[in-house]
Amino acid sequence: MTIPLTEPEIAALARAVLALDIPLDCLPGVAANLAVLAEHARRVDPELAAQS
Amino acid sequence: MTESAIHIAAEVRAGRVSAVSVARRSLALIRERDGAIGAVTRLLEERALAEARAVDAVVAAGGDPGLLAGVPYGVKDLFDVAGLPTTAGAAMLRDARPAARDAEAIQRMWAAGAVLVATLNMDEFAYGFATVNAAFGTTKNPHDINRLAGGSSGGSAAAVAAGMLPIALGSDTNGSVRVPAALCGLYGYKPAHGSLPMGGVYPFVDSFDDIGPFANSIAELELVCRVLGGATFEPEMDFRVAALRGWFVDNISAGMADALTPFDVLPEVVLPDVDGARSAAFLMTAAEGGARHLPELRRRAMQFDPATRDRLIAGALLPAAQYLAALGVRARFRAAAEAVFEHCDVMVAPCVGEVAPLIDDPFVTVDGERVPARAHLGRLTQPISFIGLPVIAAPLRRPGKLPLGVQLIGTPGREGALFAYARQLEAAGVIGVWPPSGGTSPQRSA
Repeated sequence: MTIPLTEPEIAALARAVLALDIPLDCLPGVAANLAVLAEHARRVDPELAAQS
Repeated sequence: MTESAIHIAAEVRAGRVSAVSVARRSLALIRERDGAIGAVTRLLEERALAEARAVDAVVAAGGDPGLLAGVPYGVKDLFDVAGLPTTAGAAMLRDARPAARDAEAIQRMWAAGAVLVATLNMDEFAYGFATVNAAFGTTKNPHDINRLAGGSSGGSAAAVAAGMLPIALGSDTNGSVRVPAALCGLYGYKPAHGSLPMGGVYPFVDSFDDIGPFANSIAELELVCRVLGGATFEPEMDFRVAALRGWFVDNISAGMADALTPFDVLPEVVLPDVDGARSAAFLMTAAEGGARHLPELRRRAMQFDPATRDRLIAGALLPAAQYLAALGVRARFRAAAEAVFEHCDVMVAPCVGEVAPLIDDPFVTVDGERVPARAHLGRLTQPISFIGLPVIAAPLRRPGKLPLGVQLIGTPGREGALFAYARQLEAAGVIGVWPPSGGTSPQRSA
């Protein structure tokens, strides 16, 4: 499972909404964990599941 | 397996054994055994001996130090211990301001005469089921030191399973008492949410966090609960038990399926959408954990354990809409569980799907895929704590084999039925603790 965001986009989102600068070394791990969360989110949100 | 807490307390209260001698023996056992296990993060020798001397003084003066007189114990590294930094397993907190006072649970243990001997290893900030810690090391399973002890209260479980301590305290958010109890072959207790004192315990996920004890017998487990909770569970003799099937047995190993056969005689029940409940618990954990640690992630992300840092950052990024959807799932799942509990008083379910994974191959099998043990070992425990139910994790008695455990699941206010059923199973030899073989053979049967 992947999420439709590139690592630079994840970094930009974190900076914009959380004031969090994700260290470059962490981005692959954060992206992988976001993908896991996205998979779980599809199980609790039927509309999200229907769109993916 | 060490001497029971009940026996120690009886001997100390009667003046037949000194608390100081018991504390010295426990300290010596830790020095002898923990090198191979890695359960202990701080040995509190000075404090332990001071407490033990105070217990002996009460006995000498004709008083009663309490139900746990002179019983040595340890706590997971997220309980405040007066004068020490509360690390929560994080290197960045090694030099934190020392706690001004003991956690409430430690105060209650001391009021009953228990002697605090050590702090114990955990996954950083309790986020994991492995007790693989970049700063404090990996805690090994006393039944096979090539295998994980489970987590996040792995140090607490391993210290008891290795016979270094008769009892220990941990915490359970998604399974962090139940998983290591099962993998290390011990009893553990996850109380009804909010029923045991959380004051002075480093938080992880407020919606699910609870503390709980590890012990070698149901009687010891119940005694520690009595001390911590300040009340005895009302004994019940009339209760109905059912086996929780469906999703809970879809992904268990052949060994676990075989170990569950004593429960085949029970009526079967199922819960709907357990997969959704587990996912909702996963999301709430990520969101609450991420939000809690966001200030420090902004300041010093690179000082976190890499295994927790990336998970926490991802959780902080989770949209509120998903958190709210998870809350909705929880309300529906709780209602479904309450409907099932109209037909039974205790449910039995596996605690883990398979034996402890190898440290060098930290994966478990789910739906035919190998997935990381750190995140998935609690798959079977997570949906239960999600709705705050009290659970006894009990070791299935199978000497010569690696440990496996079951969850005995009850409802808040009916813990008396839960403990009564556990005592029945223990007396029948279905559940029970057996000593590790020495823990160096990787050839033990799974």
